[in-house]
Amino acid sequence: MRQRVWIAYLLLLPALICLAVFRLYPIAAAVFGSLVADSLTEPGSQVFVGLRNYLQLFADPIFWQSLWVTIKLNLVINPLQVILATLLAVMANQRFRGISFYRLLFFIPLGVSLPIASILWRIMLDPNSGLINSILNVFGIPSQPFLINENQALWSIIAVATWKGVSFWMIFIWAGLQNIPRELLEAATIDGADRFRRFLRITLPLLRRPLLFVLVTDTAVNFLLFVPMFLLTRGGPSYSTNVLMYEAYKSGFIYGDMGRALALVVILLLLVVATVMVQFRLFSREAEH
Amino acid sequence: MNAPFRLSFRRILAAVLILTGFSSGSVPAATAATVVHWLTLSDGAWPASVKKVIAAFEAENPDIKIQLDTYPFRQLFETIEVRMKSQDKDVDLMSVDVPLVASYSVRGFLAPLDEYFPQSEIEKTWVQASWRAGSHTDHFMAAPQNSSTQFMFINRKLFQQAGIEPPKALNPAENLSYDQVSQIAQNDRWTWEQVVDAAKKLTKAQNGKTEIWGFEFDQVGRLYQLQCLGDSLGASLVGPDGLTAQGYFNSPASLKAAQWYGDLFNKWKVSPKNVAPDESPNLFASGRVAIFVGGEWNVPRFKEAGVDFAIAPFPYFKEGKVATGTGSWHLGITKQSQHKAEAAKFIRFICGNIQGASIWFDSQGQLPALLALLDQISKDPKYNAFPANAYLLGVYEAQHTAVPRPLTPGYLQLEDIFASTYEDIRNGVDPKASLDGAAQRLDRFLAQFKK
Repeated sequence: MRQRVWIAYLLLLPALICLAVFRLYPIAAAVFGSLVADSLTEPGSQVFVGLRNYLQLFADPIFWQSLWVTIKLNLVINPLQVILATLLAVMANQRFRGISFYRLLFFIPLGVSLPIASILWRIMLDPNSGLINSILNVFGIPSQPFLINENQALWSIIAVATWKGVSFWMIFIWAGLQNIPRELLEAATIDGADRFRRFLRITLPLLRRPLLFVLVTDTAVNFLLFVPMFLLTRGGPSYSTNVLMYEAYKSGFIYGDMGRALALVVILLLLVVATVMVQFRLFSREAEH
Repeated sequence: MNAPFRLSFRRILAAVLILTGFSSGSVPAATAATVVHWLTLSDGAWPASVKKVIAAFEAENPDIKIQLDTYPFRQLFETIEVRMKSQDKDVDLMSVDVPLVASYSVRGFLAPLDEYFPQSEIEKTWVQASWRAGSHTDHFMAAPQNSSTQFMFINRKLFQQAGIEPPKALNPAENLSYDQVSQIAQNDRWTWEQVVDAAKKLTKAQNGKTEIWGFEFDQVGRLYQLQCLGDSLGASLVGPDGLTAQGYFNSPASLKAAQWYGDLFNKWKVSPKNVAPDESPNLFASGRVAIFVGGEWNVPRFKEAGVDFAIAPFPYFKEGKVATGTGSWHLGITKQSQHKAEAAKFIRFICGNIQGASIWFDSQGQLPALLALLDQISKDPKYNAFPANAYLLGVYEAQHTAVPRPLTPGYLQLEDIFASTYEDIRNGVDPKASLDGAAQRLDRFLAQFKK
C-alpha cells in the first residue's frame, strides 16, 4: 500500500514541479519583491522595506481610484459577458436553415487578437472620423467622444472587451447545452412547458457547472484586463480607466518602481482569489440544491 | 552494393577531418570578433542609419562587431527597465534619452565613461549643454549622439488658398546663409497668438467634419515639446532641486500655458484630438494640417511626401521669451557590460568623431551635438539650400533659445504624469484641477528620491 502511495506521488511529481516552478515560485517572488525597494545609496542593489510599498499605496488616492475602477469594471463586465455568452450559445444551439452563417458571425471576434481588436475599435470610435459616430449621425444622434471622455471611456472599453470575449465564453456554454439530454426537454414540452420555462427550469439548472467555470475564469481574466487600457486610453482620461493592472504595469515598466508594481499585483491577486472563492461558494451551493 | 556507401563514407570522413582540422588549430583561425550588443530604437529610418555607421566602424575595426537589438520608442524604455534590472550581460551599449541620464545613473544602469573620455576632451568635442546633460554628479555617463530642435512647418498651398500671408521663413528654391537665417529667427518669429489667429482661418470644416486643421503639435502631449510653452512664460516644471512639483508644475505661468494648450482643442478647435504622436506628422504630410510644429527630423519625411512646405522659427508667447526644445539621444555603456573598452570605441566613432557623426547626420538628419560638425554645417555652402538650411536655423536655436528638459531622478514619473495630464486637458478636463492633481501626485513620487 505504502509503495502504491509512493508511485502515485512519483507520477504526480512532474505536475507538482511545474506547479511549484510556474505558479508558486512567481507568487512567492512577487510577495518578496513587494517588500523591497531600489537602494538610492548603492545603485543597483535593493533594500528590505517591509510593508512600506503597501503603506505608500494605501496613502495614494490614485490607488483607491484604480481599485474602484477595477471593481466597477468587473461588476459590470462579468455578468454582462456571461449573460451575453449564454444568449449567444442558446442561439447557436438552434437548428434552422442558415444557422451556420450566424454561428460564423459569432465566431469572428475569436479570430481577431485583442490588440488588433483594440486598434480596430479605436479607429471606429474616433470622435472625429470614426464609423460609430457616422452611424449615430445618420440617426440624428450627435457625435460622441467615447474614449476621450472620462464618463464614456470605461464603458467603451467594456464594449470592446465584451465584443472580443463573448464568443470565447460562448463555446463553453454551448458545449454545456449540447450535454443536456434531449429527452428532458422533450418531456417538459409534452408536459406543456413553453420555451421560456424549459430554459429557466431545465436548461439553466443543468448549465450551472459550465456557467460556474465561465464566471470564475472570466472574472480572473477581466481582473487582469490590460490590453485595451494600454492601447486605447493609457489609463485616462483623468484615470477613469486606470485599472490596478495598468497601474502595476506603469509602476514597474514606466516608473521603474518594481516594489510598488509587485505590491499592486499582490493586492490584485488577493482580490481575484477572494472574488473567485465567493463565486465558487455561491454557485457550488446552488449546484448542490 | 556497399562499395558506393564506403566510398562516400570515406569522403565524408575526410571532409569532417579536414574541417575539424581547420577549426582545431592546425591552420591558424581568424580571431573571433568581440560582439558588442546595442539596445536602441527601431523607429523610422533609425536602424538603417545606424547600420551605415556600423558598417564604416566595422570596416575600421574588424575585431569588433556591433549587434543591434531594436525596439519601438515607448517599448525601448520598458525594455531598458527590465533588462537592466535583471543585470542582463547581453547589453553593452544602450540609447539613453538624455533626461533619463540621472535616473539611470542613480539606479546603477550606466557605467561612467570618464576613463575613456577625459574632461578636457569632452569640453572640446560636444556642445556644452549636451555634455552637461549627459553627466551626473561630476561623472560623464552618456555621450551625445545628436541634439534636436523644433521648427514651425507651414503648408504653403493651404496658406495661399486661405489668403493668409505666412511668416518670413525658409522657402523652397531660396538660398540662405547662416546670417540670413539668424536674421529671420531674430526678427520674423511668429508669436503663439499669431499662430492661433492664422489657425482659426486655416481650419476648414465640411458637413460638420473638419477637413483641414489649422494647427498641430508633432508630439501632441509629450513633455519634450510642450514644456516650451511654459518655458516661454517663465515657468519650470519642477523646482531647482528637481524634486518639488507643487508650486512649479501648477504655477500661474504653467497654468496659463496649459489653458492655452487646452483652448487649441476645445475653445478654438483648430487642432485634432485623439491623434497619437506617431501619427501626427502624417496629417501634415498628407496636406490636412496647415501649421505643424515639430522636430527637425520631420524635414526628410515631408520632403519625401512631396508636400509644399516652408520652415519658420518655433513660436513664443507675446508677453514671454523664446524657448525651444533641445536634447536628444545619448549613448551609454551598461554597468554589467563585459566589453566596455570596445563599446567605448564605438561611442567615440559615432558620437565624437567627425567621420562617424557625419555618416549618422547625413543619413538620419538630426541636429548634431558635435562641435566640429556644427561648425562644418554653419560654414559649408551646401547647407544654404532649402531644406538643408533648416539645420542653420537649428544651429541658431541650439545656441540662443534652447531650454533643456528638467534634470531630475524622477524624470520617468514626471514625463508620464505630464503626458496624461496634458491628454486630459486636451480632452476638455479643467486645466487647473489637472495641474493641481498632477503636482500632488508627482510630489508623492519625487519624495522617494529625497531620502
